[in-house]
Amino acid sequence: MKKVLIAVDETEGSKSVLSVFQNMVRPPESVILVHVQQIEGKSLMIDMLGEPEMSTLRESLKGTEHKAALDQKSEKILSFYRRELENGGLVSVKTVIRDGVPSEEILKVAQEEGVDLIITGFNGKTFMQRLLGGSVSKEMEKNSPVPVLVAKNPAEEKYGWAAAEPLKVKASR
Amino acid sequence: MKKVLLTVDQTDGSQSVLSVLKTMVPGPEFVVLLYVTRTSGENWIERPDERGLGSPEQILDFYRKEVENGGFVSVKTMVRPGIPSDVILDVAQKEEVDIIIMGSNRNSLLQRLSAGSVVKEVEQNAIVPVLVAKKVGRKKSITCDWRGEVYAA
Repeated sequence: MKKVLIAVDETEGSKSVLSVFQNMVRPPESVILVHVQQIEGKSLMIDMLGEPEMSTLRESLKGTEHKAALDQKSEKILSFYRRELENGGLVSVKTVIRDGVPSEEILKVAQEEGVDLIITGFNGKTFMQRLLGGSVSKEMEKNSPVPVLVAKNPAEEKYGWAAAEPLKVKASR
Repeated sequence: MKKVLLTVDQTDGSQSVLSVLKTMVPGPEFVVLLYVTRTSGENWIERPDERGLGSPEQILDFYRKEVENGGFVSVKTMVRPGIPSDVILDVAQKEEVDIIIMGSNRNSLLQRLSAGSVVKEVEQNAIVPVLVAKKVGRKKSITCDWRGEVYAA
């Protein structure tokens, strides 16, 4: 396999990509590490921001302290993952920072770089998160032209509904 | 890696799971091949790529041969009825697989517009990683013009 894209963010859920990459993926020739900055903050209306609004937002952020802080955070995240990957023996790691709608930006990079596989973490743990936040991995998988591997952290997800057993009701007298 | 759950059906899109298994995943020791049969009355959308490939057993046989061709590996086949996402998650848990590999049934424009909920459900509720394979030979980027025709960009 030539190229793998690994999409990461600052959440704990992202770290599962590391163990999945080490154990479940054939070593590729190179890895593209992508972090998508959320310049619109934690807005839930991100889907409604079109390209014109986004570029206006980017323009107004240029050179500001906020942007510098975002860049610093991206660098920290990417160098953490880069170090982990290089420690695992991987030689060719390229880091990419983008901003905008995460699923779209990841797919853009995937197409530009011509990757063979996309690996992403999964963050939809709580019901409310899933209801309101949407899911980067779901959106991305829907539109991706290449296979998508959604990494999970078994230790954290143990008690999902799928593992729930039916209640055994005792008859009482 | 020890155990892989491969979910297959009679559509062409399923064959992409084979190429993914062979090229992207380091050889597992054990493969569980699962075919979920549809309970009746479920489909109101015509699936154009469904061909009369044969019975579940025949289809599983085809996949078993393909998997075993790749090298020595233990294969277990299963045919189960029910709601695909529920069955997949159930089998994954009972068999204690390390990863689930499934196809994406979004090859035509109509299918891409419709729900595609099996992958979403499995992806959200699985406790192990889920690898969604895409149809082999699909053009790298496909866009749609206002008349709804699909062409490759």
